[in-house]
Amino acid sequence: MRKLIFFPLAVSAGMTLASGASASAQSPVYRGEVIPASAAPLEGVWQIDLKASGLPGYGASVPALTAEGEAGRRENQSRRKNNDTSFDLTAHCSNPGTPRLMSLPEPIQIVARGDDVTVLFQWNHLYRQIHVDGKAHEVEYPTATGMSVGHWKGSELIVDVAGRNDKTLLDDAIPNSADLKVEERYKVTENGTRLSYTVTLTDPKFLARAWIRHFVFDKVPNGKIGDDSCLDRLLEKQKSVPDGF
Amino acid sequence: MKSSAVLTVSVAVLVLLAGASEGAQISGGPGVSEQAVSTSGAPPEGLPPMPPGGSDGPPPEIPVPSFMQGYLNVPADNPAPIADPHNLEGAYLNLHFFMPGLRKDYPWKPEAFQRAKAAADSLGEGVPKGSLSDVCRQPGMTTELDLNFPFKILQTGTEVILLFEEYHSVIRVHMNEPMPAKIKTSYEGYSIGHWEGDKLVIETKGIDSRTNLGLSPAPHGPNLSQTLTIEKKKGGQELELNFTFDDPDNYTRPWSLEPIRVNWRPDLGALQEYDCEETVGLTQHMTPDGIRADQ
Repeated sequence: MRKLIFFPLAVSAGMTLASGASASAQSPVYRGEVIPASAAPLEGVWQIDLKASGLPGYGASVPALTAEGEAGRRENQSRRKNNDTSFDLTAHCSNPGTPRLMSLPEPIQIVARGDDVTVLFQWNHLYRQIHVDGKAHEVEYPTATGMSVGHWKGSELIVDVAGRNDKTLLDDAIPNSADLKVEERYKVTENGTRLSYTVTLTDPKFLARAWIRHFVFDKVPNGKIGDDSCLDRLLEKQKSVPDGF
Repeated sequence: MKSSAVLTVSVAVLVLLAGASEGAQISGGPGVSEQAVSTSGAPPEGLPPMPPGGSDGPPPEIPVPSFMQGYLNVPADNPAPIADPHNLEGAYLNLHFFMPGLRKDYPWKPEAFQRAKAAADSLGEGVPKGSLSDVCRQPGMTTELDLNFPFKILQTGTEVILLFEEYHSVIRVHMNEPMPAKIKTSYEGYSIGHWEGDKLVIETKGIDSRTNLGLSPAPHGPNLSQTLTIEKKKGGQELELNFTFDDPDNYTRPWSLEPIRVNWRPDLGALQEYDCEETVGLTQHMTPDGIRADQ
């Protein structure tokens, strides 16, 4: 089995120690207790602005596709029109993967620490960890969300995702290959009330050139993530995700 | 085709998982050896059978199974636990193994015992009906915290959040809030928490009746009131978890599980992706709608 070892591009800067930490020459400090100063604005509950993000219902964009990408997209759209969603594992609640998870209408929550930035999704109680500890992280096997390694550049969190599997879709129709590479950038703007999320996707098999998408989230003061069981929604004859997502 | 499903060491759950992913390769986390990979549906070697007919008391602890030996390797450079007794953040692992079986010593009411026995008997039939885990639902807080795979605790200003690999479970404890008058039933229930000295006290209500209490088939009803205390021990190298249940519909008195001890393991904080839902519709046990095929 091929293994990838994923090294971070840079070391976190601007670190401060939380109170109570006990650093000594003999005992390493638990990085999870260290909260980077740049991370604090990212924490909290965020709700995607569908209109500002150009998501379904608000003029969702179609990227430049290779011939294979266009053929795959058209076939998937045709199958969906005929009520065949077997190409879309998310239709029966499988993990939508990165970046499709970030485009869903349900709120997200971010908890940032010196070892991981954890993004928690209301959708089907999923979460993913972005490792910011400066260590190498091995891709044991490809997954829907991949292996995410990030670093801080000032107040911007830059994340590289590797080890993606080919079982997911980039949206509700465009397939991705196992060679998909994802770069994410998270930046809080407008006095902490908006989160700018930019994702760059490269996939030589299906994308003719890099696809850059830009989503915007609003901070939800005192927000809470609710409970969600996707499979139970299927039992209630609801869809796993809204049409177009 | 590799699935993201993760093995557990309880035979009860092993049978469930082997049934749910028959024909698929299973891989575990960093502590699980290749010996654990099974395509036949049979439990891996290194585990004793469950006590036939159940047990009359707490089961004895068994040695760490051979395929979990990798978890015994604690890195020499693991950082020390956080000094603050009110800061539980970090990754933990339960390295104590038991084969619970059907516990005849719980203070059962007769009907509840019969339900538990039927669930225990179903394990031997090859189509387990005793746990939500076989249909990719969260099996509940007591089961998840008693399993032998890493979990992580995060604390924000208002919540304590527990993250589990299995079933990508997330448990939220709303700190210093009153219990709501109306609670929507869920697999993890609704939890509130507060500190009593250095002990975190978590009260949970509204837990779905289809979850079990602990690793045994121990059903409960909708009126269950559950209390969990979490306290650092041994300078933070361990957490001790104590569950108490008050369910007068099913048990003759409040009762407690044996204390659960988990080890401080910051080296295991990178949790694996878990995608049980990928198998929906792909096995003979679960339909495309995510319900048991024999329902």
